[in-house]
Amino acid sequence: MKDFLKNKTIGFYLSILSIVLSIILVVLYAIFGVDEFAKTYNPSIFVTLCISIVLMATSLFYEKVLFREGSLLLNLYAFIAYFGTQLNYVANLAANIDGSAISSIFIVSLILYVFDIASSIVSIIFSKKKEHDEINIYQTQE
Amino acid sequence: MNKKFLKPKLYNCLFLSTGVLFSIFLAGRGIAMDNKTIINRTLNINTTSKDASDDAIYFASTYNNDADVKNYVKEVATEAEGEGLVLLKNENNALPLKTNEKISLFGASSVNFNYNATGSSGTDSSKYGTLKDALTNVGFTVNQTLLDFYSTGVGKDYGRVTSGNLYTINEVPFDKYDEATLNSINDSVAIVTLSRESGEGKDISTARSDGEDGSYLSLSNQELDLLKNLTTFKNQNKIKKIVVLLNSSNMIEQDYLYREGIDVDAVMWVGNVGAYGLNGVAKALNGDINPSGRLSDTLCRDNFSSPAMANWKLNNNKSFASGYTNYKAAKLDSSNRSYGVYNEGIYVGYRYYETRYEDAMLNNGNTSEYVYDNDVAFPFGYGLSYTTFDYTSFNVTPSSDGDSYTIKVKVKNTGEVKGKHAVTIYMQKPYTSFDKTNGVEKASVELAGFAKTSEINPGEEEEVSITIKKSQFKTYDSFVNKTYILEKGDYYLSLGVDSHNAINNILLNKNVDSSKIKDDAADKGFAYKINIAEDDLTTYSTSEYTGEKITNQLDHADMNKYDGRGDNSVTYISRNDWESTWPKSKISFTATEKMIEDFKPHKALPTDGIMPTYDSGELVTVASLRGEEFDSENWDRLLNSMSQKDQIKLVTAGHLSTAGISSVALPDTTEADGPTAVTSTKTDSSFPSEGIWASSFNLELIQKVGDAFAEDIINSDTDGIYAPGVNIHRTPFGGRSNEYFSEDPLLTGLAASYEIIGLQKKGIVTHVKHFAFNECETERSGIGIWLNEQEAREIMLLPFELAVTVGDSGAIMNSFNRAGCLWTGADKNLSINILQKEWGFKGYAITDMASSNGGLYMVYDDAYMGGSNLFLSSENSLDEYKDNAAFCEKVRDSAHRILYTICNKSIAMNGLKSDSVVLDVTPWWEILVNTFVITFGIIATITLVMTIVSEILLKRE
Repeated sequence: MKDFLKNKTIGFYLSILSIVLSIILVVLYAIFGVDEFAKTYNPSIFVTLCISIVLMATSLFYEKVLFREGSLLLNLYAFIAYFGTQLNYVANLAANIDGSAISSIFIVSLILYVFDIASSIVSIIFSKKKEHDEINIYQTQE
Repeated sequence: MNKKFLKPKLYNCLFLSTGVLFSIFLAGRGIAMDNKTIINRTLNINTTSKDASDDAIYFASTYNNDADVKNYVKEVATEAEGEGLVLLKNENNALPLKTNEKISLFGASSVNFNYNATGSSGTDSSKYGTLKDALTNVGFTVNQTLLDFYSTGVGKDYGRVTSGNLYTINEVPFDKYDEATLNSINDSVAIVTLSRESGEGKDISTARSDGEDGSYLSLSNQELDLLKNLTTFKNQNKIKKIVVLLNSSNMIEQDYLYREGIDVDAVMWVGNVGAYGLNGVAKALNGDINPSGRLSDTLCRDNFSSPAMANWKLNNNKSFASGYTNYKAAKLDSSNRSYGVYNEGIYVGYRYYETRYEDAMLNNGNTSEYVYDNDVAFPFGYGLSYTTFDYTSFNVTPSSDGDSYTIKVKVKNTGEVKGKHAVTIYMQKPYTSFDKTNGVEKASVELAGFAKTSEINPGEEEEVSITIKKSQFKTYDSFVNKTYILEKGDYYLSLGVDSHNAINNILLNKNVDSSKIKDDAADKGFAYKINIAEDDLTTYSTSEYTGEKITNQLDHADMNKYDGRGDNSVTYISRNDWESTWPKSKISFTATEKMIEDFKPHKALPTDGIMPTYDSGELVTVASLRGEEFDSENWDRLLNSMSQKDQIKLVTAGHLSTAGISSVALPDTTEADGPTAVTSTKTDSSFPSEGIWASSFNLELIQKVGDAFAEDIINSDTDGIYAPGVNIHRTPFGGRSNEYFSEDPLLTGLAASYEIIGLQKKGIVTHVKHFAFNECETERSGIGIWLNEQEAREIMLLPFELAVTVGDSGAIMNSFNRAGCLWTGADKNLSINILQKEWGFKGYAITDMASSNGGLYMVYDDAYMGGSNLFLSSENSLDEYKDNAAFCEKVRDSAHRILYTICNKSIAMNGLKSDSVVLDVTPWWEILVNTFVITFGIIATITLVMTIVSEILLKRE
């Protein structure tokens, strides 16, 4: 394990953070995804987050930046799709129709998505900063 | 490959950027397609285009530009306000004011008048004229120093505040007025504006507000201080008189009029005035308009004095809603954990006050020491004028068939200025021993009919004729006969200037000591007694509209009759024993297993039924069926020709619109909220609150309001309106009082009917709302309303019955709440057995805003099976249900109702002949989004491939 963790970039650790956040988001969505404003689950959120976790996990062992980029795109999709499921809720809040309070789950999910996407982006950036050889630019660790 | 093309970094950058855009557009497209009905409506995009012909104009508007429409609406709205406002007090003829009078406007609301309510009738009032404008326009001089104090001085930090669910008054404390400001008021008339907000989604605050008793409708200490100080100024001859304007659709408590140190000369209820109503107020103040409005609600001295409010007082935070005691253990959610109880039975508003008063006068019903004047400041129907009227030649004539009574009376103007007068007839049914034994209730007086005179000149008179149907004497007995009955006994028709005067006329016929009656206008001769010798248990047990047998349909909403009640029960108020049935402790309910089961959505669908015919291949257009009977087989031919997908689209895509279906040449329609203003108005117009229209007691005028409203709606490119609101002003604290007419169901129902007639004559489809039992807003999303069937039918449902039978409304809107455990939109007893079968309703029932609310219980399967026909939501494929034949039959019936209504009642049909073509149009935004998705998807894929290929090739080299 020590050998494995030796000389890892910041991007590597941020990738781990992104995986953890994505797992939490999957669990949160599974528990709270259906509520009075969202009648059914959006399966694409589960699918994209799960694939994103797999891609990011793969990048831990095979640090191709493309895996992280793919993960970022999927996280971005999941974030927008999640926001879409909450659109009725947001509209209700905006219109202040029923005096609904802001749900803590909604806020927490939004924050986690932002951190998830941010960690994906930073992990990509820091992956690249370690590279000086154009040929190996898409393989951060040999 | 040429090395110069091997640029993995560049390709990767392109991949990442286009990939991001692809992700955004792909996910966004999913959201957009799920909400395309809403997007189309928001962008005002039709999904069909029609081949319109000038030869097929079914509905014509009179005005065709913004300015003309605005002028017409302004004229009618001003008239409605002027005739609906109610003069309540006018000591020593304080009003009308002389036109050269200097006026000092007091109260923070003087510069922030309350024009309308928030929610479905909310409009931008920043462009509306001010009170000062209205007053100066009619010649008054307004004290600018005082106005500056409120608008730019110390007073600007005060004024009405709404924070979450809490309304506060926040009036300027009197010690904040500086000397210069107070000096400016010398020799002026003080007009004090008392304003209160209201709106959708929350009831008026009964506690925690800054009203003296914690409620928002009592006066705050600052308001009381202001009135006391003004009284002192008046006594010092610093000001001439004090006039109070009650600027609220909810009735402000009138206790201040009885306070030591407060001496107000005149009080006028003006409601919410809308865009132009202040002009009517100003004209009433200077005498150009002679007030003729009569209260459409009781104006209380104590707003908590009714049985309904006595119940609220016992609940946490004096709230209408309570939670089932075991809601946590039973894992109930926000859509089913709350309930509200209509413990008052039929004793709503004046029905309670006058009945208890009569029983106190006659020593009946264990009334204890009941003092009417402690509860009521101004009775229902009360209203003063600048002139006086006398009644002569009052007579009642039964029709030859005995089915009706015609009341005639001559109204003479005995004053010095011309004016109109509302003649109101009240009825009394006998409270029999059968009633006492079996829980049937009778109010002492009920409004039975009314009419408004034209403007009568001084010294002249006009005969008024009002016909009362014998069927109005019927009573709903939910216990023994389980239908409407007509009991034997003495009935009275009383010509009363208000509800209290009406009962006093009757009491004088019952040999009450006349010295006990403090009513100078009471006259024994104005009450006519009718004796009915025999009980009639059959005539009214079938529907007069359809012949359908009428029997109990709402036992499931009456906790005492509901088969899953467990240990729960309600003590309804009974005049047989007022004291024993008066609320003494909170009505606590525990959700039983049966209730928890009944709360659950997705009831089992029937497995029988015949799958409807689709795609028959025949070409039948909607326009070709104009005028066809609802049951005509030609409608079957048209429905057979439609695809299942089109029928589903038609019944699901109802967000402020109905979908166009090209296969049957059905055009799109667009609808808008709400009852006192079309929210898409292009003329910045709005009307006064519905209560003001009702208090005009002038149905002809209300129809004219409907006509003017229709012009504004048509001018806004809209075909239908989510109005009128016809729920009952059950208490003064209902949040949407602005959108509802009155505490009286007959006045509400007739006012709504004539508005509907005015609107639908111009091709605007009305959606009467909220069906049913949506008198309060607290926890409205799924709250269970528990009430008995007599109250339901005689009070809460009667306005809807009139709106769909007299008014012939094309559509009705369900409510968010439940009747007992069942959401009203899925309650087939309510929406099918009563609405369709008893009342013969052939229009469609739309849900309330299903897209933003209550997704846990407002579900498609329950809704269509329970009588809803259209979802106020975006299009849905209904894939889960479309193989169920019974469900598909309901969808087909719903499509039939929508088609029938649009075909015959909607202005959207203008231009369509039998052979006209309607074409599908793909909205521009849909094309744009699809283009982006495809383009970015392709580029992202290519650049991804190029990235990988470049890297591999470079590695090899």
